[in-house]
Amino acid sequence: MPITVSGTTITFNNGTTQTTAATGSVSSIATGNGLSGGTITTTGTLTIACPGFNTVGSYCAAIIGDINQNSNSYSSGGSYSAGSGLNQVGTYAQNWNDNSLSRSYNLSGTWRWMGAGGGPNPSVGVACRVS
Amino acid sequence: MFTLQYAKNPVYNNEEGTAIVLTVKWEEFVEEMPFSADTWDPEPWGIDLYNRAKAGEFGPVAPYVKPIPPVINFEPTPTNAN
Repeated sequence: MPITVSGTTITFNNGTTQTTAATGSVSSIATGNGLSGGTITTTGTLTIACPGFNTVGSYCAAIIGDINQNSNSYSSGGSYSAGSGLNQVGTYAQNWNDNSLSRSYNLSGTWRWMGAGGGPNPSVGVACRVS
Repeated sequence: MFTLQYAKNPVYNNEEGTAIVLTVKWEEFVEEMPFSADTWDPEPWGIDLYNRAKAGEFGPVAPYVKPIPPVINFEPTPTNAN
């Protein structure tokens, strides 16, 4: 039996009919990665916590580019892979006493550069993991 | 969680072979993006992508290319020849 429309009535192939527009709502909201309070099926309160290091949605103090090769080219909002090469993103920390930078290439996935665009020299700034 | 449409151009991303960078296309994004799949990723899809890339699912993994230090030209320091 095909779906039929007669006047203001829609009849589906299982025999049920619909005469008015359906109303609906979300039936379940799951949580995770710093968002807690779920699963919500009616009403509830969600809480946002700090995401885990290197997880999607987390930010980090980032260095982009390879310090041995001054031929980077990066832009604000651009997506870059984690790593130690050209146009790749790692983490850094700055020594309080002598201002030296220590770098770690312990990130994964894809990161959005949230600092100024630039190049060819490497830069430090902030990045956010997108996938 | 992301759903992979395709991945291509796998290249080792470090000397140890514990990271592979690929160009990936997720269903949740419009554009392709570079992605570093590695063994320490806290996200499950990253580990899965690494294992699949390592197994050759996206083609042979190209060897790691170590960055080449820049060539520095030392020019003689000008002197004041008075």
